[in-house]
Order: sequence, then structure tokens, then C-alpha cells
Amino acid sequence: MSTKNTQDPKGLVSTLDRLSAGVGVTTQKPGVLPAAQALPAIPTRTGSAVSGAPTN
Amino acid sequence: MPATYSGTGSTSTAGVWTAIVTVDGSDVSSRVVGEIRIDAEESSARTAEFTIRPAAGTSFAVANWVGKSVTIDIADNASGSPANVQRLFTGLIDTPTLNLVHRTIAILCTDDLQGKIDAMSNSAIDAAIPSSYYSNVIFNSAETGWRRAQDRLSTLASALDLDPSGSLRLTAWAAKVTPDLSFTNAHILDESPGLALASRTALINSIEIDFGYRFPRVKAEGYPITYSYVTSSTIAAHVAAGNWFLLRSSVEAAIKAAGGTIQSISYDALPNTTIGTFTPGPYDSLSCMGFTAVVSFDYAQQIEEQYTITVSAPNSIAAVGTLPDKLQGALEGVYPQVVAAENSMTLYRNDVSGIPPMDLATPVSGYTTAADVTLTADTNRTAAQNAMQTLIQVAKTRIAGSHRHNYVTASVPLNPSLDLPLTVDINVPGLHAVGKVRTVAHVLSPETGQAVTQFSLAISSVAGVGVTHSDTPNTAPAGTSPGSTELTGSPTAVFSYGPSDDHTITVTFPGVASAERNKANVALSSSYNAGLPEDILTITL
Repeated sequence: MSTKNTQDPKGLVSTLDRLSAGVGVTTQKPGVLPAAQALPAIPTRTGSAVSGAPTN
Repeated sequence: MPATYSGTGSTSTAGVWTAIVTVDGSDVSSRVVGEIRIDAEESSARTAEFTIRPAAGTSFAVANWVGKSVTIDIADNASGSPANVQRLFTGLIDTPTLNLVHRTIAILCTDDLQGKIDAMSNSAIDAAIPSSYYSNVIFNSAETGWRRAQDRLSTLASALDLDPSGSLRLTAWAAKVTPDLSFTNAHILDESPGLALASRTALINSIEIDFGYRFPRVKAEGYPITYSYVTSSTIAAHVAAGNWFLLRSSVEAAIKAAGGTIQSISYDALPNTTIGTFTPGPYDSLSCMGFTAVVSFDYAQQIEEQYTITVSAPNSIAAVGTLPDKLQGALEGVYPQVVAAENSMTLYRNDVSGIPPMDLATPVSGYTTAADVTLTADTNRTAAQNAMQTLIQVAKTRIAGSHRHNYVTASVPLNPSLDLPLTVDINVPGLHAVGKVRTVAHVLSPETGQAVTQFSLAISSVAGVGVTHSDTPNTAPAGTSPGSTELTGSPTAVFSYGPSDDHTITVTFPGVASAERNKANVALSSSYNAGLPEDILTITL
């Protein structure tokens, strides 16, 4: 109950506030992405192998 | 539904009523002094207050009062015995307050809405608020009970409360087409109608939602490579010069040393006939004059979809200007670290590891291809879409809620049927309003014989009756899809075949283009209309 509907004894306001605690209060989380991973660049890719086949 | 209650009379006759108050099952009606008041408001606990004066000499113990059940009924007492008994309140004593001077106990009761919902399981709460949205991304899933219910209610234009008997009920904010009760000047107490219009600053008609969704995609490059260092036309001179032949195994070893995966490879075989100084040998099948291959490389890229979603009520904006608000959310797909995923793909493709990676893109010659990865159920595309739909629904609900802050108030002789779920039509000189009941207060004064129901209607009024506010269905904004791009660079191969060379074959593939590997930020925008009802509110001064 909101307190505006009451016209009653002193002290009741705080009690009614307690009875209505949490009305409309959600657990919505702050939505921000964490920092992204830093990735190393992939440079030119080179591979070598020895070929051992003489022609004769 | 009757506009009057027999206990409090009709439009032409007075009634005789009595209140029946029980505490812990015992009738204490005769001990009640002063007013009995029951207050109810949408989505809040119903409260009751009354004062009793116990018999002289009664001892007081806290345990006899706090938490004890309370019921309050009203009855038609015209015949001298209670008839047409109607329940006004069912609940528990929350706080007894003693007045030692007057020897009275003022009692504050609650219907224990929060306690009852706190005692419900998550599935029971979800079932009690159907058509609402819920997302672990947006809300704290560790919260249960009342807070979970508040999360769900923030996505639905409805009120959840208990009826006078203590049963849970969900009621849409929107007024029904046909009012449940209609009051005219014959019912409304003199000078009781009142009107409080929403201030412009209380309105929200445009909400911008920022939502970020980051996830990896696996990619594969399919490089075609063709190399030839000798042909059947030049092989005789090649041999005569003492040059070397290229071993097929060396080709494959060089490609693997570059980190590539051979998707396909074919070799130009040595001639099987004598050509000049070239004479076929028994091991020629191990050598080649060149090769044609498709070589793939795997890696991954982080995609960050940055959604800007606008939810607005255009007719409200046209009427009062833009009154903005913001919401935000974010989700990161749960997947192994990108570098670890890349290593897993490369080791598997090159037969170093037998453990298959979670996901692989399919290489296509000449292109970079991409594929979505297998994320956890809580962080995959479906979860992201549900999160965005939840935020869109929060926005729609917030906009709708802000537009029903026009309140029409009135009082009638106590009518126990008048309750929060009802749509009420008030048509009195100078005022015609139709809306859902937002608050109800039953006030009974046994000493004066007066019993009144004060109530307020929530009126959604924006641009006037007859104006239609379109509502865009809540479908999730489209995200990106994995695509393919043409490779721009070309690989090279060099075989040092001279008699005094080192006889190595070296293959070189271009590095990954930065646009294919660096985090890709993709801006996506969409807009939705928030539908608003236009309740009847006609005022003539």
C-alpha cells in the first residue's frame, strides 16, 4: 500500500511502507559488456621442408 | 454486477449493515471501537486497520496477536441477523499497538501478499504471471519469490494481488470494453468525485535500449595454391643441370609447417617415359613436377553486435513531446578463450590432436568462411534474443504504466463488490470516465453507521478517445549471420632445386586480414511501437 491512501495514526506510515516494500522494484542488472579479449595478429604464415630427391 | 449493496442501501432506500471481525477464529466484532478501514492497491498488499477494546482484566501477550488470522466481513443486518455476508479482508495481524490509557489495541493487518508469493516456487510464480517475460541476462536469477514476481511483472501490463479471500489474481491494466460497474450521480457520494492528471514529467514515451551481444565465430580460409617448377618440356634440361626433384612429402611437410591444413592436393607426376636425359625410376611416384592444393587455416573472431532498440509511443510524442528513458543490457557468449579455440582447431585439423574442437567452419577454396559456435544455453543467440525481448517488454510496460497516472476518484456507499480487477464507468455531471480500479478503501464506522467505499480509477489518456496507438509485435531484432568473403592475397611456393641450393621448398600464405580477425563491431538498430489504450475521460467544466 502506498502511504497516500492512509489517513491514520502516527507511525502507521512507516509500517505501511514496510508492508509495501519492494513493490515494483526489480532485480534488473546493469548491462555492460566486459572488455573484449585482446588477440595477437596472425602474420604471414611460412613453412619450409627439405626435399631430398636428386635427379640421378 | 450490482452498483449497490443491500447492506448499505440502494439509490432510494437506506441500508442497515454490520461488520463481522474475527481474530484467530474468534468473533471480536462487539469489541471493535472506532473505524474499520481496509485499503487495497494494485500489486500491493491489502491492509486493514481497526481498534478493539478487550474486556477489562484481559491480559495481553504478543504471541496471542502477531500473525493471527483476521477476517472482516460486512453483512446486511436489516432483518436483525446477518445476511448477504460479503468478505472484505482476509489476512494476518502485522502490528498490534497498545494504548494503555484507553485500554485499546490498534491492529494493523496485511493480506501477506509478499509472504504468500515468497513462499511460491519459481515455477508457480511463472505460472501465476503467464505471458510475462523473464531473462537470466536481464534479471538476477538467484532472486526468488516476491522479487522474481516483481521482475516478471515489470514485463507485463498487469497487476498481481490477492482478492478479499486471499486468492492470487492477475488483472490486466487495460480497462474492459464493457465496464463491470457503472456509477451515476445516483450512486456517487456528493462532492466525492476528484481528478488528478499526470504531470508531463511523469510520462515516458520513448525508451532507447542499448544491448550488446559479444560472441566468437570460427572462420576458415581456403587458399588455392598451384606450383610448378619443371614440366615434361623442360625436364631433360632440368636433369642435365643436376637439379633436384621435389618430394611430395616435402610439399606436405612445408604446408603443415606453415600451419595449414591440406584440404585437397594433386601432384604433377614425373613422366613415365624417357625424355632426353630423364629416365623414369622406381621412386618417381614420391616426387612431382608441381602440385595443386587447397590449404585451409582456422581462426576465430569476436563479433560484437551493438543493438539500439527504440520503443516509443508516436502519438504520445506528438501530443506532449519526447519524454525519453534508457535501458541497457549485455551478454557475452560463453566459449573457450579465442586463442585456445584456435589452437584446438589447428591441432585437430593437422592431426596433432584427436580431440575435436567444439566448432569448425567449412573451408571453401578462395574464400574466408565463418560459422556460429556452440555457446551455452544461457548465452547463445536464443538467450540474447530473449533478453532483448524482455527489455522491449519492460520498455512497453514502463511506457504504458506512465500513461495511466491520471486518477479519477470517487466514493460510494460501501460496495463490497467494488474491487481492483473491475472496470468502472463513472458518469456524473461534468465528468465521464471509464477505467480499471487502482485503489479501493472500504471505511466502516459502526459508531456513525457510515460505510463508504473510496476508490480511484487509473485512466490511460494520451491523445484522446478514438486515437489508435499501434503496437509492434515483440519479435527479437535480427542479428548477424556468418558469411563468406573472397580472399584477396595469394600464397606462394619456392623450391630451391639447384645442385648447390639447400633443396628446400618454402610455402608462404598471407596473414589474416585485420577485418577478418579483429573484433567486429556491428551496429544494428530497430524500433517498436508501444501500444497504449485510450480510456474514456471526458471533462466538462
